Formats: sequence, structure tokens, C-alpha cells
Amino acid sequence: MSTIAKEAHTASHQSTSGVSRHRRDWAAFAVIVGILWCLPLSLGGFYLYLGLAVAIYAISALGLQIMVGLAGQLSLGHAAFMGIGAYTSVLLQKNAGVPFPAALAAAALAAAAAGLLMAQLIRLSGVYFKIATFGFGVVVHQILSNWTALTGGSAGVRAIPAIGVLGFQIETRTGLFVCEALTLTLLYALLIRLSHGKIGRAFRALGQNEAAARSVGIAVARYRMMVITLGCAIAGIAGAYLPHLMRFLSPESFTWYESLTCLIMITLGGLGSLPGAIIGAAILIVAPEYLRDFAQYKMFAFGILLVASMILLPRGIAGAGMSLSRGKRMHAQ
Amino acid sequence: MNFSLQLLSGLAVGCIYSLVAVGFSMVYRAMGLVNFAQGDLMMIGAFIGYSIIVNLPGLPFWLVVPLAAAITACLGYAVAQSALWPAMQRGASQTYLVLLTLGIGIILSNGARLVWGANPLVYPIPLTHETLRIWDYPVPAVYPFIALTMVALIAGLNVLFTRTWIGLSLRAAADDAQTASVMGVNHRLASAISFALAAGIGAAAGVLYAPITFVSADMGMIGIKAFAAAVLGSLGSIPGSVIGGFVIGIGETLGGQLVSSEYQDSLAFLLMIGILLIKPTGLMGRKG
Amino acid sequence: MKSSQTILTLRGVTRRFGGLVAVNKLSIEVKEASIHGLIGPNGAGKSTAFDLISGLTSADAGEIIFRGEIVTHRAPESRVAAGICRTFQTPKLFDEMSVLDVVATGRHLHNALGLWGSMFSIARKRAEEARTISAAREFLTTVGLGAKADAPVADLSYGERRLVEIARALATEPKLLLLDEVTSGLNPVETASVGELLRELVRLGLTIMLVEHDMKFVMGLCDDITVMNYGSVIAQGSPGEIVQNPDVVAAYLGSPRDGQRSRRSLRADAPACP
Repeated sequence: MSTIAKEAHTASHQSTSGVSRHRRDWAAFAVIVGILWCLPLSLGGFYLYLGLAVAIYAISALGLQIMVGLAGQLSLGHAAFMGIGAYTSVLLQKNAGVPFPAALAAAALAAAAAGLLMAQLIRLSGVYFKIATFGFGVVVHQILSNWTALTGGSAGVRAIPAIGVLGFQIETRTGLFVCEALTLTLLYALLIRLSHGKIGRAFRALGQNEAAARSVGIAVARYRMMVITLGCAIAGIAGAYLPHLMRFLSPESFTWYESLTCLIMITLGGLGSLPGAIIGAAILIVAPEYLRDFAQYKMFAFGILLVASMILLPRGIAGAGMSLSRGKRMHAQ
Repeated sequence: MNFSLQLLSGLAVGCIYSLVAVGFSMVYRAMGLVNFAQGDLMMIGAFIGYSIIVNLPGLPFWLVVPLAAAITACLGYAVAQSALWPAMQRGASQTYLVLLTLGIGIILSNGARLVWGANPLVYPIPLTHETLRIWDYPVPAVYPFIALTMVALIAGLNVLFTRTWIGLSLRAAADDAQTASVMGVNHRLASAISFALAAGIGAAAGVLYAPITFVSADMGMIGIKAFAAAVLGSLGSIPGSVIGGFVIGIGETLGGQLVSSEYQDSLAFLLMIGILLIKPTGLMGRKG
Repeated sequence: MKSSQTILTLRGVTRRFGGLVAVNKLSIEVKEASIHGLIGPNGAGKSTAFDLISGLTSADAGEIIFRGEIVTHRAPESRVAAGICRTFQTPKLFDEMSVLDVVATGRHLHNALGLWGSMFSIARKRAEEARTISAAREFLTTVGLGAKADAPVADLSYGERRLVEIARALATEPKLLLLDEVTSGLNPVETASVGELLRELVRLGLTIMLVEHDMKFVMGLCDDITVMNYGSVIAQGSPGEIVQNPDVVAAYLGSPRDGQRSRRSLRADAPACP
């Protein structure tokens, strides 16, 4: 067991620099975006629904990945920011007639503002930050459940308005999927660009050794704020799409368990890997749909999956896949 | 009139939080580990207590507590030896270790749901319903048990850490693992024993808490609030954890009365955040 | 000899941890383009002095002046911008990066593109990255590790980790380089080549401060030496003056009672690098 882990560990370390990493990241992007645009649309029906759900959680997981996997800022309240985005967007559309693109932007801004507030209010590092993010998640969930006048409380919000873009009403799932897939593709591409270069290196430096990061002039406090705000904004965007898929909005979509599930997605996929976040989201959304008979074992299985993947594949599926493809290439030479 | 009753109930819950928080602090000091499974170990302890009561109906309650604690401690020992130590040995990051304990917590709480069912359970003993009269107010009969166990456990820990060879070794390993290992203290064993002790103390808290509430797989939530208690009292400090437990217990009970009981959990965390804003190292933290 | 201009001045700098004075009224003048050694027994306060100069911990009293500016209470990143960069007693790299990426982090303050720029300005980003990577390669070549650019940090030997850390520090283009026990863990061949490298860097105008245990290395390399014990300066001067100073000899041989005290101050040093 430990030898497998060790092999996966060392293999994933090989050749991770500049140019080759660049090429590899865009190759993974091409494959994943190709599958994203082909599979759900061509299969349709239930698969389209799955594609919609996967895309939403993939967006959310990307946000969490840059916070946790890249910059090492473990957040235990990620679902709360999805919730802030979802309620902001739906309430603006429903009560103020705001068009969807503006509501989406507002959702991202609201979640970013909440994230910034959390990070500023809790100017804490390490352990304190982790527990505070958990507390923040609890507070947001309780507000969503109990501020009945605004959010409809635990009964939730029904009759979610259809997405309106530039005067068109998007009523079909296909239309919704195109919107989501566009958002995911764009965000994924931007995050790859961000991860190469000054800011991405500063995030990774912050996550891997804070003292060393300071020693080369990286303003760690500022970069911590930046990555938290960015991660939360992305969660807000994911959240804004969720009610349009479910046609219903309730605080129960944004509990501690949802935050945990997002964490399992990025860990299973591979901490620090953007494609890993998307793969993890796909597995954790699709698998339970096919294992509905075993629904009561779901969280138990997720727990086993988390611990087992951490012990057997410390770099996640993305890391294991990378070392596998490298092994093949070396074999061919 | 209601106030003193509320205060008593806050004190009782505060005792429970304190005990679980002490467990958090011990593990943090011994292993530098933020153990998010602590609350779930408490929950497992409460369920094991239930099984003991059901299977050994004649056993007095004051024996159920140590028995459940011992069994849970063994479980904690196994978890530390099998899952946590190898990861720590590999020099895994804090993020990795926290995720690992979260995973263990998920397995424990959902495993408990599979073993003991999804419905909340009630201890089938008279203690659950009995009340005492203190200053003419009816008070759950388990409160004296809670208070006594709390005092006994804290006193016991104090003796263990200051007077016995095992306790001194644990402290030595926690403060400076390298030097301690030169002096013959096995860090792995010391870590596992600390983890097991923390699990046992948490289990005792779970069994004591059960008669005033339900036993359910969601009990782990208490553990997270206890973590807030440990943090606001300064993580790693045992007196700090005890004080933090009382601050959270009393604060959320009284605050829940004053504001709204729906926001009780939020109050606990807002209290923690507020105190950390004023004193970033916690109540018992040293400056700088 | 070459230039007597002072680049760094410490004036009565004091740092306490609880009741213990880790650094007591430390006054040092460092000349530009020279190598200044900071030596003393374990726990003398040398590493804390480095923390104070680099800004990882801040002084309770006294003044630190760098190139005419008071930097006593500036944040570490702003001191890097001013031209002070350091290495650590045990090399602190970024363990999941490639060697080249680690050195590239040293270019942080020389790059301009922000959050939006890195995502949206395609041509500028490409140019900036090309500059960063070629600069990083150059600094790696300077320390003699050009061939290891694509290796993962995890595969490096201890000596190579030290060199990568130096390359990363050089990539910030410092005026003053603080090297904390740069030779510990190196074999004699590596030590000699580090000595060569440092001499070359000073010839190019860099100022270096060393905290060092290897006396032969220090005496052969430094222009000036400050000796500390129990947080205070006990001697300052050229290597020749230092070896003959009776206080220095006493501090290094020590008496049993002193040994005990020195153990105590070692503990006090610990919180300096949290």
C-alpha cells in the first residue's frame, strides 16, 4: 500500500515545470472541454440533467481548488458561498426583475464580498481560519433557514424564473446547459492562465511555505485575501445556476455536508489540480445517481472514498493519471 | 426564575463542551493535529454507551461511563496508529491531515448511522427522565453526574500530566519530540496514547450528555462547537479549553434565550469570532 | 577595503521573548560590497538578528537603517523590495514545484501583471513569463544548477536545496543577502564552491551577511565579524582581531555554568521562526 503511494508521489513530481506544465494543462483542458460539450448534449435526457449538475459542481470545485489545493487556505464553508450566490441571484431575478447575466454578476459579487468579509473579519491564519470558515458556514445556513421574510426560510423558494439573456427566455435544459458549459469553459481557461505566471506562483508559494513566500517579497496577507475572494466569487457563480437546475431553492442545498462534498471532490480529483477538481465533481455527482439503491450508504462511501484516496493516491486521480501516461510514454521510447 | 435554570443548563452543556475541548487540545499539543473527528468520537462513545445499557441492563450508570470511554479509547488508538501516524510520518501538510480527520469523521458518523439506525435514540434508563430539585427548581438528575465526572476527569488529567511518568513522557513528546525520543519516549506511542485518551474523554462526555438529549449520528456537531471552545480558550491549553467550554455553553444558552433559539449554533461561533477579534491568541493565550 | 560606504546600520536593536532578551542592544555597521560574519555559540541570538533585519520579527527597541532609510518596522515584503533578502537555517523551498518555478518565485516583485492582467492580457503575459523564466534559468546557472531546472524540488540533495534557495534569493536582485548557516550539511567540496560563489557575488557589488558555524569558512571569507553571546555583542572587528580576542575564546570554550545559560537561551530562540 505504502509503496503504491510512494510511487504515485514521486512520479507526479517528475517534470512539472514551465513549458511542459503549460502544454499539459492545455491538453487536459482540451480533453475535458471536449467531453463537456459533446457527451451530455449528444446523449440528452437524463444525461443532460447529469451534465448540468456536474457543470455546476465543477465550477464550485474549481473555486475551492484554487483556495485549498493551490493556495492552502482550507475552507470548511464553501457551500455557504454557493448559497449566498444562489439566493442573491434568484431574489434579484424574482423580486426585482433583474436579467440573469446581471444577477449572475451580482451573485459573484455578493459571494466575493462575503468571502472578503470573512477573510477580513477573521484575520486569522491556520487553525483559526479553518474553524472560523466552518462557523461562517453555520451562520449563513442558519440565516438562510430562519430569515423567512427574505429567503422563505426552510420552506425555500419555488417558481424559479427562467433565465433571460438579451431578451431571449431560456426555457429548455439544452439552453441552460449551453449557458453553464460556456461559464465553466471560460472560468477553467481563465484559471489555467492565472495559475501560470506571477499570481499563480504566488498562490502556490503561499500554500507550500508561507515563510519562504514572504522571504521573496510576496505579500502573503494580500494574496490570501485575493484567493479567498476569488474562490468565493466562483462559488457564488456556481450557486447562481443551481436553482435553475433544481427549479427550487432551499437552504438544505448549502449545508455542512455540501461543503464537505466539495472538499472530497477536489481531494479525490487531486489537490492543486484544476482538471482534478472537475473529474472529482463528475464522479461525486454521477456515481450516486447510479447507486440510488444504496443511497443510505452515500456519505459513508464518500468518507471511505476520501480516506482511501488520500492514503492510496495522495495526488488524487489527476496525479495518478499523469504518472500513468508518463509511464506509457517512457515505455514507448 | 427561569434565569438560574438556564444558567444551570448552560453550565451542564459547558461541562460537556469543556471535556470535548480538552480532547481537542490534547491532540493538538501532542500531534500538532487539528482533529475534526473528535466530535464524532464523542458521538460513537454515546452510541457505545447505549449498546452497553441495552445489553447489560443491570449495570449502574457510573460504570457505563468508564466502560464506553475505554472502548472508544481503543478505537481512537487504532485510528491514530493506522491512519494518522503514517500520514504524519510522511510529513503530510496541515490541509491533508485536516481532510484526513474529516474523512474519518464522516466514516464514523455515517458508520454509526448504519449500525445504530438513523433515528435518534434515548437511553432506556430512569436517569433520562428523573429530576432533582435544586433551589426548588426541577433539574435533570444527570447534572450532578456531569459535574462530578468533569471535576474528577480534570483532576485526574492534572495528576496524570504532572505526577506520573506516562504523563510527563506525553508532555515531553508534545513539547519537543526529538529530544524526548533521545530520552527514550516513543513519539508514535505517545501520540497514539494522547489520541486515545482524548477519544475516551470525548466518549465520557457523550455518555453523560445522552440523558439530556438524544443520541444521534449528528451529535458530532457538538464536537465542532467544542472545537470553537478550545480555540477561544487557546488551542493547546487545558485550562483554556475548560473556560472556553463554559463560555460557549453559557453564552449560547443565555444568548439563545435573549435572541432566538434558532440562532443558537451561530451564537457559539459568533462568540468565538468576537473573542478572537479582541484577543487573537484566545483567552489563555500568551501575547505575541 | 573597496568601498567604506555603510549599507546597513543596526542601532541598539533589542528583541525580547517573554522575560528573555534574545537580542540585546545590538549595534552593527555593514559596509557595502563586503561579507560580514555574525558568529557566536548556539542560542546567541544570531538567527533572531536575521529575523529582525529581514522583518520576520520586529524589534522592541532600536533602529534598523538600510541605505539611508529606516526600515525597523517595515513588513518583510517591503524590505525585499528595498533590497534585503534572506535564506533560512534549513532551506525553505516550495516542495511541490520544479526547481525552475521555485527560482521564478524570486522574480515576484519584478513582475507587474496583476490578477486581471494574468488572465486577460495575452501578449504581455507571454512576454513577462518568458522574461521570468529566462531570468530564473540565469540565476540557476549562477549557482551551478542550470542542469537541474526541470527537476522537482523533492529530488534534490540537501546541498542542492541550499543552492536553489540562494538562487531564489538572488532572483529578487537584492542589495544585501542574508545567509543563515549556508554551509551546514554541505560537504567540503560544496562548501568551497559556495565560498567561491559568494566571493564572486561580492565582486559584482552584493553585500552579504553570514550566520555561520564553520569557523574556517568564516575566517577565510569575511571582511568583518560580529561575535554575539547571550544576545549581546562581545566583539567586533576583522577576522585577525577576532581570533585573538580573549572574550571570544572564553565564549566558545565556555564554562559549565555558561553552558546551562546558553541552553536556556536556545529555547528562547525557538519562537523566532514560527
